[in-house]
Amino acid sequence: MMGTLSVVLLAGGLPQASANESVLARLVGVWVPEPVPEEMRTVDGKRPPLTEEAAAIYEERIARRKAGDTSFDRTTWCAGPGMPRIMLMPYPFEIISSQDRLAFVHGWYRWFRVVDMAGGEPDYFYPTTMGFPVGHWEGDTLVIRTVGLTDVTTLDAAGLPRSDEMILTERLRLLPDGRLENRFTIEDPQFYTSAWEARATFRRDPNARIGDDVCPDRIARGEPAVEDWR
Amino acid sequence: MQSSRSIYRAALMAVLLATMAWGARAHHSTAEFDYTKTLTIEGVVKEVQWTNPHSYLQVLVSTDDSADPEQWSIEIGSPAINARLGWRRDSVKVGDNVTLEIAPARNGSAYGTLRVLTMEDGSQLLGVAAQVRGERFGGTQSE
Amino acid sequence: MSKRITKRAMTAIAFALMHAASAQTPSSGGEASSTRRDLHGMWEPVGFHVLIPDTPLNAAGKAVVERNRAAMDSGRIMHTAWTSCRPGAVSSMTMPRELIMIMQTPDELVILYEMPRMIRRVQLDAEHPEALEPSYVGHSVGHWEGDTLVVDSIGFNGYAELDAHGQPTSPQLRTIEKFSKSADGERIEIEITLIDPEFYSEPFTIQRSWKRAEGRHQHEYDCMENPREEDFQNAYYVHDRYRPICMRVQGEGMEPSRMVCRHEGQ
Repeated sequence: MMGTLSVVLLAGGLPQASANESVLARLVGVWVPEPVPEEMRTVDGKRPPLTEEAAAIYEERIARRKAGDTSFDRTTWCAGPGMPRIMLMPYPFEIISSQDRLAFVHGWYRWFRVVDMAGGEPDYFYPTTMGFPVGHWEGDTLVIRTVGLTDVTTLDAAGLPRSDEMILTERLRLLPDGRLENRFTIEDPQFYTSAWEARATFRRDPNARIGDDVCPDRIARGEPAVEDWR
Repeated sequence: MQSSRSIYRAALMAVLLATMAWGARAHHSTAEFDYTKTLTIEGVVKEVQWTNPHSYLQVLVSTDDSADPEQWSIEIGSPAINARLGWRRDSVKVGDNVTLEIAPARNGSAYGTLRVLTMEDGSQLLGVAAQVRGERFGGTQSE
Repeated sequence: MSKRITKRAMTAIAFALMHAASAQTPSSGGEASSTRRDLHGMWEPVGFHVLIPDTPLNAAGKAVVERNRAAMDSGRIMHTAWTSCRPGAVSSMTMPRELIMIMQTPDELVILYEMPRMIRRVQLDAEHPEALEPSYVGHSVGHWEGDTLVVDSIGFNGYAELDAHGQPTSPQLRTIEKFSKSADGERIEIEITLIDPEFYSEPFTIQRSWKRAEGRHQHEYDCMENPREEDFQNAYYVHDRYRPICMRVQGEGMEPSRMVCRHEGQ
């Protein structure tokens, strides 16, 4: 083994593919989201650049939610939150790598998505909540571009609207302290006057597991479909 | 929308629809819809629910003598099934004038499952029940 | 040139080299047996199974099936775990549908089902824990016998029906699945043995087959997104917990539809 390592190092460093593999080795596994505000903020701490129409929709939803009406939020009846919202909820997820695919397996009601790492073209008949993600590496950063996202979900818990033309770009990388960072870029000219970026971080927890969460059983007991951040 | 089909494709479609109809109804009793009948209604699309496990069209059907149109709920199969039948999410839109051949609900309510939808321009979309004629769903079916 | 290699870097490099080597095995024609043990990919069940015939139902099992049949014959719509959007893993063994993705690492198989949406984890060369919380998906451990993956599952919660007649299962259920990939790699043959002395007088075995479906994309099955009033009129619930909590009610005239939810105690 040491002989092999010496050969690799003397050749001037690892090939890109192996470098990706070593980053991937540290990306896989269970991640626990760190709290994010219910009203999503850009990386500059500001409200996203909503169009007038979108701002009116958002304000109305914020008011309704404060009055106890979350009927604009389909997670209320255990329908899927979609991307990016499912990564912004207080439930762990797990990254699993298998050949040319990366799976994100979530701890909320059996949702998952499979990211094509082989550079395939997303082909879809209709938009879905998790969309059609395609990933590639840029150095140490995993970049996932997703199209085909439906307009029936909200970006955040407070009800940020989105269209089915939206393009979501995620940049996942490991921070020096070992946490995972995901920077989301939202491009959706129907509701936002410019592309904007938000950020979420995730930490390791050796006790965290992805269980079989069955949302209908929880709401049947009178618990919320999506918990609050603790 | 649907273009003209070869005989082969039509036969394939018939097999596909029969299988899908079985699958869609596998957990339901045969009593929900009367597959021996075909009812034709015309109206305006009020809402499209492109959803799992069943999608629906809400259609306002004007009756000659009454002032208020009657709202019909028409089941049109799941998105995955409809995609295979050539539907897109916006194939039918709010405000479209449509003619619907349906298998009606047994209980006589304003409810049915789609056989054939005809748009104003004459183009057609099939529903899961297009090929189902009064079949009983019993016994094992496997290929 | 010499570098001081940290232990962490060495581990990462070693992992990368091992991973690269194992990733090459299926395509570069490594040993035939390791290729036969590669179940990764997109698969599609062959055939369409909604009824499991000739099961050795005991008196208790027959009573359940008869009750279900009577309800359906009287015109009611039967609601099972599947139709109430909380299917058990056993239902996807007996009635596999649509596309199924298998992700495979050295430690486990992760099986991602399109419809109904479900995730099964099969830990390789592991034991069932002593204290197991019953769940819809159970707890699965697998090991290789030659090129056959034998998966043993227990810890089911009894809320799962085997088929469209609602053949029951109990928390005593144990399943043994044997996955064998064909020599040409195009199919997985699966033999499933079901053992549930509460409802069946002896174990019984069924066969299923999955064929390779590379290049195809799973649809999304968001089972709870539109629970309609019509689905629950004239309903018969195999278990009370299958009752809906929310329902879509159509608006009058041009009024849009809305969701109405009840909570415990209402």
